[in-house]
Amino acid sequence: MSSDNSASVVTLKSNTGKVSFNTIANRFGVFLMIAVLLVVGAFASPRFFSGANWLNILSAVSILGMVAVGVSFVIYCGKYGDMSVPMVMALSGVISVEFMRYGIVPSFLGAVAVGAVIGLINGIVIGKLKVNAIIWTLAMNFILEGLIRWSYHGTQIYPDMATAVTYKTGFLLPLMAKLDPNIMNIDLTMRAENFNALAQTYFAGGIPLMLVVMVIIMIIGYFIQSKSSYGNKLKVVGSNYDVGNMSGIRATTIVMLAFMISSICASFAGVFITSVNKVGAFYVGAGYDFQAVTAIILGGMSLSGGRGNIIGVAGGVIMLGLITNILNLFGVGTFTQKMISGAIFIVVVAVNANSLRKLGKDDA
Amino acid sequence: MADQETDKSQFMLDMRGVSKQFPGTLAVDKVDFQVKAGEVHALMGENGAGKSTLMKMLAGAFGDYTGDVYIAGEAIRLSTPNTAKQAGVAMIYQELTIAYNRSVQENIFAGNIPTKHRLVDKAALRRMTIDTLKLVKLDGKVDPATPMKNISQHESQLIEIAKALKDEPKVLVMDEPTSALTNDEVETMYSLIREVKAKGIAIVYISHHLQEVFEIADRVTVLRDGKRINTCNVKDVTKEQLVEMMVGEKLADFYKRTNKEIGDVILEVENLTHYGFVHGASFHLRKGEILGLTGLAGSGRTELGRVLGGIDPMNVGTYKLEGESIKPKDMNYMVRKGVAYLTENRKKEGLSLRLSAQDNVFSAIIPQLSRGGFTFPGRGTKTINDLYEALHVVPNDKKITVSNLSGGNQQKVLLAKWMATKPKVLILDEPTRGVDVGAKKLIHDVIESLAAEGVSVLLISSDLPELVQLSDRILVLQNGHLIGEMNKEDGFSDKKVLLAANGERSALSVEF
Repeated sequence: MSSDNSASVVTLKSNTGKVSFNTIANRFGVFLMIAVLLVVGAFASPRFFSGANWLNILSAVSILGMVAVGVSFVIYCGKYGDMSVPMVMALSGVISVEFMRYGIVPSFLGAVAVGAVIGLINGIVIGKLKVNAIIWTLAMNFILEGLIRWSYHGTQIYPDMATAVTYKTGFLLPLMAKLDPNIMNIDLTMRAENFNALAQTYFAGGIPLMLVVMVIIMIIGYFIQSKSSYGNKLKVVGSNYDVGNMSGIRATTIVMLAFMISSICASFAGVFITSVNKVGAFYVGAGYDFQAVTAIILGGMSLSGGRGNIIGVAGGVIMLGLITNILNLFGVGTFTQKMISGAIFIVVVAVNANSLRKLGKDDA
Repeated sequence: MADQETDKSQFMLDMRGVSKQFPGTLAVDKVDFQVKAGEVHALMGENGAGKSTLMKMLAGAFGDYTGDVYIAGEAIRLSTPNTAKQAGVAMIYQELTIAYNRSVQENIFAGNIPTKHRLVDKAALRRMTIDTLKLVKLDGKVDPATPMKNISQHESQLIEIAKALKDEPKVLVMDEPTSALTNDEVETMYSLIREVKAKGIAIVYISHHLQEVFEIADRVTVLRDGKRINTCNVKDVTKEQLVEMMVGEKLADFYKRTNKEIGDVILEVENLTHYGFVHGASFHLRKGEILGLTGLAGSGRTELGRVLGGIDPMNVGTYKLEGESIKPKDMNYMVRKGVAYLTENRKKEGLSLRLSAQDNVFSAIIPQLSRGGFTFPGRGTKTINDLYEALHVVPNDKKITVSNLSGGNQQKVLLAKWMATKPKVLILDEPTRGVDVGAKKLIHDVIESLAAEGVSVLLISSDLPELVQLSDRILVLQNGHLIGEMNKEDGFSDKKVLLAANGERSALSVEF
């Protein structure tokens, strides 16, 4: 007995040294990298530390932040990613433009409801029917893209001209007009202005509404993921699906909800990005799926699930914002930036895949 | 020296004084193992006796064994699987190594498919496959181009044997070759083994089934605790003697068990059936009772436990818990009803190795720790502290990642996880598999004190001393059927339990 104890203590010592280093690297790594970027930024431009530049950085990443919170639930649950995010954003944006004639709140509700339905479908197929998450959400992305482009005959919809265009091309407005003919008489000018103003709303000191919404989503996300009963179950299921199932947790339902959360967050992001661009179109969400995954993994969340938290994700999001900002300050062009962000994605995923292999879970 | 030379040549396989050390245990301890050409040599022993280590050694899985191995009189160092194969050792594992989506011919010639002009020579491949299938009389029955997934388990096994035979091995090792076969198929397998034997190949036959050994083997070697106990001619021994050798002369276990109260029936099942695994099982479990469940591998003991725990479906039958008829629809429901199932597969289904010990212990009681949708780990602090104290988990650090704990301590954490649910019925499937002696003793004590507190335990174990020491009654399962029950009053012993598990009805107290 005594020899056994001493043996386990020895193995422990050698392991804990490594583990604590990993823990530090995982938990604070992104903040260390942010610190390095701050130094680089200081060299880039004297304007770097100005309040205006910081608000600029933060508002530039607020949409990404909303998406990343949602996708982080999918990754926390061990499913690698939600590739349907771009089109959920686009569809939510289009729906919000259509619903804008009822007012801002219905516009949001309509968009989120659509997101929730798509998330539910994703969740049922992936959670209950156990279809590969990446393949399915990718397929869903294509289906939604087709749906949007087909229903609007390939045209984009501008909030201020929505009625004229979508009555001819879309299928939603004619439907709504059948239910309530008055809808055609609503003057959209005012509503469109309100809608477009969403992205231009500032609070005291010039803090954008988008940023506030992102922070609220992050706080709610943090509590759900790390403090709620659902989050605790998600952690067990995410770190080992079979163990979750064999702990009396209904793992399929847990997975399903993760995809719903992802889509709902993407819907919020979709409404805002549509307001920013002042246009509803299929392409508005392009690239957000990969950027979100990059930010999440940078933030110390493991692709194998069950590790990390929203605080780290926030760090990852800010870090991506800083990189873009600094590259802009250095005058690096958009195309070069694309290559750089692609390279960052590859490095981050490669490092994570390496640790996955060590865990014996190398199907990422 | 000269003496040894002549000695050696007599044997096709000659392992002399081989040992293999694992951290903490000497799994194989100076074992001599000799197999003559053209003989079937059975290798027997309880779980953990060292059979599989010895065979893995022969397959070249360990480079660091000590001792000498001679094959056909030639000294050889089996340091890699490839050298073992070159030396003429072929293995047929219990779990077949098949690429199910590929054809028969591709499976047989995987790795050395004949080519012509750098392309697959399909005609030659087909011809060679048919020649190979002839070895097991499957030519004409199985088309070489059939995908393996369309081949029955029995034929797959024969194909696996054909694959081994085509390389003209000197030593053929078969690990439980009949475990998944029907009676007719077993006969076919026997006649095949007799033919192979006639070719002068030395056959090592690993089996738990005494009956089989008497049927097919010429000699038998028994291992226990890593040592060779005896080698003898099968016709010179009886079943009882073999069991004696496997189990050993155990010191009479003095149990300090007080005469605890065994209460009313808490769980009662009738005609419980899970198609294909458990058929018409009826039994009851009383409050505070430890009910053992024995049976050979593949007898359906784990499956029975899983049905009771709500993991596998109960296709037919009635299930009564505390007099109330219930449907074990899923595990979530059963855990809430107070039935906990501790899996035999700790690493895959029991613990999430990457989470902390605390996260694992709490994983089954998240609803109990939550109020209004939020989980308060603090509510479980007392529970986990008490469990840690009772189970002596080392180190006493609840935040440590479980993968850093030793096997014994992992198993204690797994037990803690299910004890935390405060079950009325605790189903333990191999609760001490792969743990050290100290942890085993402690887990036994904990099981006994749980029973004393009124928890009913269903103990599924292949560890005979464990079953004998802990159980109040033992149910015997054979091929998915409960064949009887053994009572403590009639006296348990390792030997009797092993005989019962082999279907020896005289060992039973009550026959079903």
